[in-house]
Amino acid sequence: MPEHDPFQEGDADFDALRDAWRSLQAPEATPDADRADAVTRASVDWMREAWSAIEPPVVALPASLVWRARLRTARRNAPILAAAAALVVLALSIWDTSPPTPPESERLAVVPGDVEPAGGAPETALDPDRGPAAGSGGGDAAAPDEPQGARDLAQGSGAPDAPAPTVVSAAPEENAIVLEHGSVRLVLLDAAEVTTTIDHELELNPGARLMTPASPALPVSPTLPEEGTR
Amino acid sequence: MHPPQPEPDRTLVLAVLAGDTAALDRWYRLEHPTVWRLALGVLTDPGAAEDLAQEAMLRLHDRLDRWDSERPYTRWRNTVVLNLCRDRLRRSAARDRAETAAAEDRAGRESLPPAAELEQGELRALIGQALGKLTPREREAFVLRELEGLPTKEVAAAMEIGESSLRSLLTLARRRLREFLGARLPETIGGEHA
Repeated sequence: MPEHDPFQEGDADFDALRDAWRSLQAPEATPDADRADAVTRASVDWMREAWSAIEPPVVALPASLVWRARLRTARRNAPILAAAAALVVLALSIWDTSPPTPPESERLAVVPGDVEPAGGAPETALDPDRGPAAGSGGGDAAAPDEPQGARDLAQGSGAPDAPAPTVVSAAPEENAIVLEHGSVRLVLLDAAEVTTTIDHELELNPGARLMTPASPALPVSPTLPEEGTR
Repeated sequence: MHPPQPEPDRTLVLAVLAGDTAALDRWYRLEHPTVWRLALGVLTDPGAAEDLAQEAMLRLHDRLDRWDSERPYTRWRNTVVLNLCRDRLRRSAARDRAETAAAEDRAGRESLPPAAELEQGELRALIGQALGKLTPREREAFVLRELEGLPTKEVAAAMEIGESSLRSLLTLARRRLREFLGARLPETIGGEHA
């Protein structure tokens, strides 16, 4: 059923009514509206007095309104939170896949990739109970601008779930021992410092292993290199 | 005329929008009395006014971000509250008619004491009865202009009518109130009618 019937021949013409409607004026204000009689004034005054005397009910902020406000804030902040969450996830994934940075130590020289991987070699567990060798103060190959991750590695305080670094002795006859952690290799050049570092590492990470890639019979010991030699 | 309440400033509203719970609490305490009075004035029923005031506060909060801060806050708030009151009146028109008839039966002819001597319950009931004599539009006009003391221009804007129409509504409202209250006012107040 159509809402409006089409105009047909013979239908009344409403132009006159429309014109009359448009010519309607709002009723004029009563001339004495503001000069009302005493009774009217008294009535209005009584209403004003009563209006001033009423006390609104004491109300507390409804909990529902608080939750609405929080919901609205959350809705407004949702894009920002999502972006922040994405950044965190991205950062975590990069952290998981990126190679750890080498340790910072005055006694370590960092030579990434300097030594070939020790593939297929048997591993010999270091005995953590062996006493630490007396360290010397030599070998000051400093790496001053290394990041925190490297320091953590050197101090055994890296990420809680990170695997313990693996100690690889690539060329013991050259007084060089390699610390391997993930895809990063740290070549320890000072033999005396190597033993100190290994002992320290063993204290912090009893699971650390010293690997002898060349030969299973190769004697491996924290005191393997001669002290003070390089 | 009710003493003017402090109005929420732009900073407070923005703090509410930002999710500041303390600001929300302050805004609510600041606004609720005025909203409740408006609702009472238009609906005339204290219970309905309390109910609508809560609903209006939620509505105002939900729409707070639609308020154009370049425009007066009070005008925007009054418009929202008045619209809610009109909706409520439309929905309960039949019930209101029945209640009005009952109120007329209850209305006594004893003289009215000064408002300050009445208890809150009586006061609200009397205000409701008196305002119930007016049409909804007259009530809006009378409450905003005479009782809340808003400027004529602002009331006309809130009611979306011209100022001359507003004056006409006010005249009619006063006349009806005179009919209802005049005969009950004590001589000292009513003066010549006694």
